Amino acid sequence: MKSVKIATIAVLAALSIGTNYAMISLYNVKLMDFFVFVGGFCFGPAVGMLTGITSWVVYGTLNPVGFDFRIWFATMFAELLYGVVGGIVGRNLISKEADGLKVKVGTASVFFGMLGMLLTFAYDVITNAVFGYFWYQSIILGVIVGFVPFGLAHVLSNAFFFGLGCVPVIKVINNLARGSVHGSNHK
Amino acid sequence: MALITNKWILLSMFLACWSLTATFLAGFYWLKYTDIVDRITGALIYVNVGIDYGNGTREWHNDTKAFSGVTLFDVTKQVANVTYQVGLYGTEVVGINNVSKQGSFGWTYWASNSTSRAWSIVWENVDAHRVAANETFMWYYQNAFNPPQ
Repeated sequence: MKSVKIATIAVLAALSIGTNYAMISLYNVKLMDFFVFVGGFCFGPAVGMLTGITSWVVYGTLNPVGFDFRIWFATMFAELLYGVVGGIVGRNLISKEADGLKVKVGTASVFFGMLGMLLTFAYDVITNAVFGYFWYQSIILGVIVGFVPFGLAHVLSNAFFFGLGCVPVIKVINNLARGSVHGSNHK
Repeated sequence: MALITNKWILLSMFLACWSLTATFLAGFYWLKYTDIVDRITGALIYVNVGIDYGNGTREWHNDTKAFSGVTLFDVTKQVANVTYQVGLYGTEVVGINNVSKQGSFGWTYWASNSTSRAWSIVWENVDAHRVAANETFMWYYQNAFNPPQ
């Protein structure tokens, strides 16, 4: 169980870091949040948080766009939201007997898409507030200015990724790591 | 399971997404609107701009419309084809209407003193000097700092 979790954290972190660099030219359109959420959803908040921290430790420090400790810290802290909420939602959605997500795919996709949007709003408000505080000396200005176009791109792309990707990826992980998914009694 | 299948939760989430997007967009466009309003609500003023090419040719752009708060640089760009470079001390005009800085020759700018009617050099940088209503300026191409004749 422990080794599966460690392997999952490593794979999800590698996927999020790799896709972040691959999508570097697409500002604020990244799969990282999605992978952190899925990690939390399938294996609990701790795995989600560790996936987010690991991803940001690498991507945040070796970032072609630049490095600023305050922003890095804020983004890493806000990224934990995806993992924690993923873990909480996962516990409520995966029944102890179930071997996966047993709801209508369409309904689940809509739910995940909107959840991705709401989490991204929260993430953007936190990180833009920090940016605004240090750069504009105004939290409100940072939050508002950061929304168009970058925040909007982030929110809409995450709605798309979460809506389209969550159901199939969670099902695949549940099948591969059967018995290790939190809440499951399977061995 | 109830979380996903409960239509009221889904509806609430949808409304939350909608209202947040609308609020942020409204905030952004309000900010843009107030910024534009701040920039264009200056009073309409008129200034006179002369350009002396140093070869006996002098042209005047009298009663050029401008908003209070704009700089001499902004007004000059309105009336002429200006080339410039930005250096350590700010913006430097290097050419006006294809007459460019060459050797010791360059563009100097002067303001007419409203009481004495004499030309006095403007000590402020061109992009820092804000024009006043009915002010008269002269761009003078020369290799010294002599006031225009």
